[in-house]
Amino acid sequence: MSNILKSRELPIVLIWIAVLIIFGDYFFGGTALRTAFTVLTVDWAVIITNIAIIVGALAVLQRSLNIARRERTEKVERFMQTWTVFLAVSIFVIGVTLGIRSSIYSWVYNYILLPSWQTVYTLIIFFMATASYRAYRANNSYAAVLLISGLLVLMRNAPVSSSIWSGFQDLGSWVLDVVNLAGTRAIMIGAMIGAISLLIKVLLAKEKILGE
Amino acid sequence: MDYATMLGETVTVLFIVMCYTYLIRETIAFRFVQATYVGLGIGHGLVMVWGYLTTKTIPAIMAGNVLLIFPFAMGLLLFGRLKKQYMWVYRYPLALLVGAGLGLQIMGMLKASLIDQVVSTMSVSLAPTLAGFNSVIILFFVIASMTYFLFTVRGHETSKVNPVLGNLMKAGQYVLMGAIGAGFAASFLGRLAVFMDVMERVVYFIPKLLGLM
Amino acid sequence: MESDAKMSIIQKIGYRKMIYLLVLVATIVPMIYTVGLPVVVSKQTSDLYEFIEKLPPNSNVAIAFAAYAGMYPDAQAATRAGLVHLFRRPLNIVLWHNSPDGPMLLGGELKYVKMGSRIYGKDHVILPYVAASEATTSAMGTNIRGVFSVDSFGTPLDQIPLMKNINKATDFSLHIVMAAAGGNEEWAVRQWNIPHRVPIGAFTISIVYPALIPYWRTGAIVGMTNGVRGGAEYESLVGAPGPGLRRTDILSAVHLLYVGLIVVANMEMLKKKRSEK
Repeated sequence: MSNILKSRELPIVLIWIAVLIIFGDYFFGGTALRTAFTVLTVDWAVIITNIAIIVGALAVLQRSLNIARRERTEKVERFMQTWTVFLAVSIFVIGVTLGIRSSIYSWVYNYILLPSWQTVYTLIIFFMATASYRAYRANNSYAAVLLISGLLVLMRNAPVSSSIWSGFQDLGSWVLDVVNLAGTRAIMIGAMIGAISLLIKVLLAKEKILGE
Repeated sequence: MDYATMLGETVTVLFIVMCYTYLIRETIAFRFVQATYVGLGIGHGLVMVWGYLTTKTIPAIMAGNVLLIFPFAMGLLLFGRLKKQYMWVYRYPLALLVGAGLGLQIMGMLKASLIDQVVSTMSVSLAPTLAGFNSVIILFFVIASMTYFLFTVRGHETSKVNPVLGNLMKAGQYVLMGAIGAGFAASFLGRLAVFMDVMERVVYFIPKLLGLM
Repeated sequence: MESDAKMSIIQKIGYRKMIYLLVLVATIVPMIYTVGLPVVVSKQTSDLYEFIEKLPPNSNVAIAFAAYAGMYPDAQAATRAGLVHLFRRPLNIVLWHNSPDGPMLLGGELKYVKMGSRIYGKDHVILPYVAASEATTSAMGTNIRGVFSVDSFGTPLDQIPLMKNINKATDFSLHIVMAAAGGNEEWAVRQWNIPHRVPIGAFTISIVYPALIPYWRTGAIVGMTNGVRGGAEYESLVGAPGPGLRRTDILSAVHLLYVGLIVVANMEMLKKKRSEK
């Protein structure tokens, strides 16, 4: 029995059921399929997605604890990983007991979490600046086209460009609305074909998508 | 300014400066900030999801909607991910999510990403206007880019094997480079916007402390 | 001799740190000495503004507030101006959170919205947070009460007057995705526009903007804003100056710096290639 439950095939059956319900409701309609579709998305998928976030968070904390417990981990790293777990647990307890609208929770969120997260996100601005000088060189025609289109859109995004020359807005918009549109459309259509082939491979158990 | 706000603004500026020490090299200060925001971010996410489950799912089950026990129990199987010997258990809820996600995505993509896009590409206007010119250009660019994706021609760059296809693929490559260039400019704008916000906190810190703002 | 002295300063500091310094100067100086550069409104932004402006009174508008703290400043200007515009018009608004940070960030934006004669529960409702995914977006379009049973203040939906006749996508005239970090707009197109024909509007971050242009072209997305630049445009349309218009000078200065760096670097490269020949 346990071998059957541990097999690869049973979860694939669940994928088949989910896909058939969704495709069936889309192509054939009917009350039964609509009800099945609603139950699948509204009840099952929403609840499982929310629990998946909890599991994902706990997996990160588990990894941090494992790193902290390892003997060969250096002291600083051990402290950092332990600090991560401590903060996660503390803020969870504060949030659940006092609520997210409490002054301490808001304080920690607005004055520590928010600026830290945003600052880490902005570090790349400086590296992009040095890359602009060192790496963004038009060594061949392809790189030249990439740079020219990037420059035109950069100039379009700069409000001052319309004061320098009105053509910057028009050219930048042309790059976005024609060149970028065509490229993105091709990528979209390609992604569509790729998604269908992925679905077929998953349904035929040719793709190891469930972490086997 | 009250003391909590003053302390908060000071801690904020301290964290920002500690984070920017990374520009010199990876320092303990930066690692501390990183560990802090990862921990707080995880905790905050857990609080929000916990809030959803305890205000919607669990009360609904307690109120008599026993059918919800099944998806809830299925969701609990995801915890098998945390222990290697029970990893097989977590495949079941994941299978449902994958099936539902893929099915919904493809249903929507069929029209949004395929039919509508092809129809819009083929809607060419031969009017002697900029819009007409652009529609012809878009049709050519999309065909060229798709050719680049779908076909493989050895030595296409020299166009010796198949000049028409080879040149079309080259044109497609140029179009994709153009699209990537536009994406680079867009990502730059995004980061800059957040950077401006962060720098404002630092620049206006002293005036705020002195009550000038 | 003089150029040797000049070069040694740059060599001493290093070109990398010089560039970091230039970035800081280009950001801080316009922050202190503002000129207030005007901004040209793009077609995508004006389309969104016109669509909202032309919605008949008492139309229902759904807002998925999907702000992530790390990227939020990019969409903050547009989000704030969008909320001001939506709440100014006689529209019924149902807002829910698709990100854990939304409930913490929304309060700060609603401070700038003039509620006027609006009454909570009668013409606007704020629902809590639900984890975002394509399935959740589809679920919201099918059965809102299946996803939420109470609003963000704990009031059962059945006791809220506005929610009496609202439960699915077809009850809305417009679905807006605000400040999403990627994915939410496409989910909205696929799960609200394609099956239910609900128009989609997007106050989006700039990274996602180029990828949404094909949807705008086909009409699935009626209009969208482009990060902080789009926010400045929308603020100028709505007449509510805020962080977007305040930052046009900094935007211009830093963009010009980057363009300058790329142009200088490529001119140096061309010069080097010519001298090698």
